[in-house]
Amino acid sequence: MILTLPSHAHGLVHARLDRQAGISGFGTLLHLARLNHFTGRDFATAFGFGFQYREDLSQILAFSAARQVRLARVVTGMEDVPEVWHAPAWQPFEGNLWQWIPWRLRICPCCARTGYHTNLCQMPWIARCPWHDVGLLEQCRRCGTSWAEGFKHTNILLQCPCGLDYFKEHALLGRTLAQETQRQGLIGAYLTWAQAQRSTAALIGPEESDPGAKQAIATLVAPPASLRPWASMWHRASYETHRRELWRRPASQCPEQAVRTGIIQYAESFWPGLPGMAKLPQTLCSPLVGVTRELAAGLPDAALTSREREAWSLAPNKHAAGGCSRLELLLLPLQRVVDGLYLDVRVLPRSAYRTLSQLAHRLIDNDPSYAHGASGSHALLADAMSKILAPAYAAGFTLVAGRHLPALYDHPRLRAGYRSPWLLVDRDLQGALSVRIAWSQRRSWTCIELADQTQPKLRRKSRHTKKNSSRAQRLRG
Amino acid sequence: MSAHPLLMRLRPPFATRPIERMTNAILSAIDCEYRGIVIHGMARFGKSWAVRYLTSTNSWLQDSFYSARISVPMSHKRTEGAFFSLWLDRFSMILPERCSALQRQARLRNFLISKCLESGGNLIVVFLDEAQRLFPDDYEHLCTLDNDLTDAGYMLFVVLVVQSDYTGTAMEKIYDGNPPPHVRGRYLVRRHEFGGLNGQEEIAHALGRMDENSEWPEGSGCSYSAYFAKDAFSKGWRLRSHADQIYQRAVRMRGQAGLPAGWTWPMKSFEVCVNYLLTNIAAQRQNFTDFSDEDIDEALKAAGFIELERSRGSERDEE
Repeated sequence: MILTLPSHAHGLVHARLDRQAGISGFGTLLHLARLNHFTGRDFATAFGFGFQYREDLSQILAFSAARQVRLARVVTGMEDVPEVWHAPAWQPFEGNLWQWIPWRLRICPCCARTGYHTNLCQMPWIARCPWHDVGLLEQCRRCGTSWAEGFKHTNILLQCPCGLDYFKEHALLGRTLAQETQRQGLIGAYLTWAQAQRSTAALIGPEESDPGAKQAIATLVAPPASLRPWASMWHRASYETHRRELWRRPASQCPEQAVRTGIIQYAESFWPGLPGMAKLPQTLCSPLVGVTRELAAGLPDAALTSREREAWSLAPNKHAAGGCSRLELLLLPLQRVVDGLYLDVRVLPRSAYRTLSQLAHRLIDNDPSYAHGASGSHALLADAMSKILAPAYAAGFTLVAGRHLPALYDHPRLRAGYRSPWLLVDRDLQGALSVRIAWSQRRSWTCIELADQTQPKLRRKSRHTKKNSSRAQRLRG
Repeated sequence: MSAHPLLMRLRPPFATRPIERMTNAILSAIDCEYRGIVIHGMARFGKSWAVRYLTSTNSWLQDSFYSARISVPMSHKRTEGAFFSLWLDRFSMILPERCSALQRQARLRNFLISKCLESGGNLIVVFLDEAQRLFPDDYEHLCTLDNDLTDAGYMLFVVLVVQSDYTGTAMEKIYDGNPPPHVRGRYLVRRHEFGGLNGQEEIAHALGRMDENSEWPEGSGCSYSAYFAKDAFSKGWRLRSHADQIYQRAVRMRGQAGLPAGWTWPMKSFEVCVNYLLTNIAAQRQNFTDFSDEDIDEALKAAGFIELERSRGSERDEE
């Protein structure tokens, strides 16, 4: 893997740019812009690409292929964009991470002195500079202005309007190139590991913008043995982030047909498409009933009618409210019909439903262990689904029932808001090997969308189509 | 395969005694930590040729260093940042649309330092050709640049190549007037006059370069003389052996033209004369054995030897 730029920047002052291992597109721009004393308005002339000041240049140069090519042409004389400029090259899993979490330029103040920036610093699971062991900064330490905002005001990269400037020309033009060997060592080891991981690991997320997910994702990625010398750079798991780790348990023989059928039915209930009633395994009865009871525990006795209490699996209470029962509250919890357990998946938050759908998709369609269930992959994925289902059920239940019973929001845990699940699925030849689940920080209840809200839109759309077609028919007639 | 260097336009320079003397003067000034030296000489004596030679090779200085050549353009006045723009432009640097003089100066300083980092040394030798066109303010800019680089631990040495038979520019103020001590102390203390080839020994040395210290095609071991007069060279003929004959014919021609006896041979006419002898006479004559007096006279005429000398004499008369 090529870690450094292959050639020199012609017509631009640069200092050993070809020896800066792992330097990002933004780092290259910073290096050249500061040494050449270019301001923002010179970038179009000097580097051949335009930008808007509201954009983060580090993000542009990590994702915009057109602008990467233009910068590469100026710097290397060729159109090949160095692989280290692409942000996905630094991810140890497949999937577009930055679609859902916000990108903010992060720098090491010591590396910034020499105009060095690498996309490694942008990864949520990296918290400290591996070479200087200092915390990465997303904003000016003095005034708290983000780097992108500072550039908007000063026109000079990494110079803050408060006057603080981390870049030092004399440091970059020093006789010795700082950290050259160490950088080569780490960047080489990290990229090799990330490349290997990308073929086996996949990130599954709620597929929605989740600003509080960075910590959860950081918790999911664990440092490998090959990067142990730089273990201090890794994000340390916080007690605030709820995390579960599930491993595959190989069985001595294939599971019985009935068990396998049950798991497949369970997964098919969450198959991507229109939500309906999910058939759940019997093992989920106890946890989901427990969730319902815990939520109802905070309600006053007179909040529910006797029939509602029965539907919620609560003990009869003589102080129960009289009058009509609410149909919505009756159908909301788990339903026991003959020998099966059923749940209306429309009660689930849409983000959790999408995550469950993706897991189900992996279980049914992608999992090679379908042919040999003894590996335990099916059981592992089904277990992961259940681990996501319980908190999602609690959140959705609170939201729907909370319309009738606002006291539900007094629950100490749910009061803070909703949290989305993020999963990292590791697989091998026999299917899923492990599943790590981390829940993002709780967000306001207003951001949550329920799965059933897709329905009216679809109906409206179909009605609109029908109306148009009938009008067209009338016109033709 | 490309053409022989002597058959190309803009032929490559080769080392001569005047270049060696100029190199020694520069080295001596660098050793004494001066920041510059004035090399003055008359037009067509080969000053720029010498500069081209010295910037094309770095074996004349033991330490690693970065060298560059800048030809100062003619202009009547300069804005504050124009001097630095000139340098940046000559170094093929992309120039931003708007940029303050200070920014240009900083950029130039960074460029020179980065070049030193590439070469691994801490010395920058810049040849300012046509330095008679510099303005007094330009020397101040040079001082500023020198201060910046000295602070950063680098030494900027400027070789001011001046045409001494040229008059009427602001440069005269520096020389004939009273330059400020910081300018004089840095750049104007050391001077060296760049002359032509003096006498037979220097002519023989220059001709000897064609016999021994040249090679084409690369790695073939075939010198320029051997290339154009293969048979004669193999039989022991050497261009160097004509040094005395060429000198005598030149003296005789000068005498006939009524030019003074004391003289030095400008590189321009000498180089054309040698080139003519090798490429037009030796290369095209069947059974070439050596040059006759007529051949040499023909080459001297082709080189415009007398016309060039007369032009200098007439200029002197006008002055």
